[in-house]
Amino acid sequence: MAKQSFTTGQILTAAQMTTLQANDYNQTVSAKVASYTLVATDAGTRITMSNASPTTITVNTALFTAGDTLTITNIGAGVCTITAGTATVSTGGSLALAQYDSGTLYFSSTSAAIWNGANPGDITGVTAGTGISGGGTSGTVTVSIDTSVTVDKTTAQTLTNKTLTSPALTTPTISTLTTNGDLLYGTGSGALSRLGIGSTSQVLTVTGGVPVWATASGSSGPAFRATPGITIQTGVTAGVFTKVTLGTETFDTDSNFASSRFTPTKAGYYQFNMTADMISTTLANQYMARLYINGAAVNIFACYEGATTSADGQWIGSGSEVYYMNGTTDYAELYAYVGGGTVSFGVQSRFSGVWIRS
Amino acid sequence: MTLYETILAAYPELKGTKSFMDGTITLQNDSDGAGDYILVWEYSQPIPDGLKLGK
Repeated sequence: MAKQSFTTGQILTAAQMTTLQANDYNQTVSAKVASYTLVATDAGTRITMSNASPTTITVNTALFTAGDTLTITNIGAGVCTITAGTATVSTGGSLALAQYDSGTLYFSSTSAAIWNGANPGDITGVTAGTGISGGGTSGTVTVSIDTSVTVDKTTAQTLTNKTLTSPALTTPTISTLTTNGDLLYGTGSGALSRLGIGSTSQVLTVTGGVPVWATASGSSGPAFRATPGITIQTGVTAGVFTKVTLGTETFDTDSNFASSRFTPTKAGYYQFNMTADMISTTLANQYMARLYINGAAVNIFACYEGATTSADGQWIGSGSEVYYMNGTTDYAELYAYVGGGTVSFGVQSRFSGVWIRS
Repeated sequence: MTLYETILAAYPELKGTKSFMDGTITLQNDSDGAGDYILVWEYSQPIPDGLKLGK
């Protein structure tokens, strides 16, 4: 029997008392076979749900008063879920009723209900699955992460053959990197290879398809300038190409100039500038200066050939040349030639050179 | 007598010519203490007796 509303002066009949008694000992049942929304006359009754598929029983506001209760029993195979419609439904357990589970809906106000669901039953045992250790069938049981199988956050562990998708690394440590400044590069097979830090001023380039540190081709190279100082080179034989002795270095940036010879340690094209100060104590008709590379003349860059009777006793010839030097064995020297008389080379001779490009 | 003078003495016709600067005969001194020597000898006549090519 649904909840009744009695009024003042109303006479309670024996039949009504019997019905009320029956509600306590033989509750009015409202059988449902599909999802259902509670109505006001459901107060005090038992709702049964029978459906093989999941169903819901919806609770709305303004239908019940504070203190109203009703019981819901699920006799179907499908889970029946108590669902808050416009009313609030609170519970300390589950709102879902498995088959043959029951619960009581108690209204604390017209818009709020408390659901006392079915007893989920006692735990009779805990079995540790893969990656977890511990468990038991009585008393307080403990389960822990089995760190031999499962990764945890606090234990140092080694992972092998694991794929990390979009990992975010915070200050990672990679044992391959042993030196400050080391780099990692891909090998093309999904693996990484270490590239040790290079030397000062080296640049990263590619050789054989992999990055390597190399000396920068750079924009500068060896440069020198040498003169005879205040020493006149005497004893020069007329008619002989004679190496000009240059014993004073104005500068020699890479210590490539020695014994009047420039042997650059960096390969590339060099600009050479030469002045030969040639003196003959008697009239001479031929003066010549030459750049020698590796002991052989490569160019006559300054030459005077005059009539025997008009030639002066001193002639200064200048010139320049660009020549490629291999940076290891190639060397450059200044030679001069006077065709006659007693010959010497004066102090105005100059020999300079500078790397201009690789 | 210098190497140059020795050769001129042997072949006086070379005096006043360009033969010592045009590559016909090249005499050289590397200022290394080894003295003058014949670097190139392309003259039509042989190297005078007592002289040799190179240092």
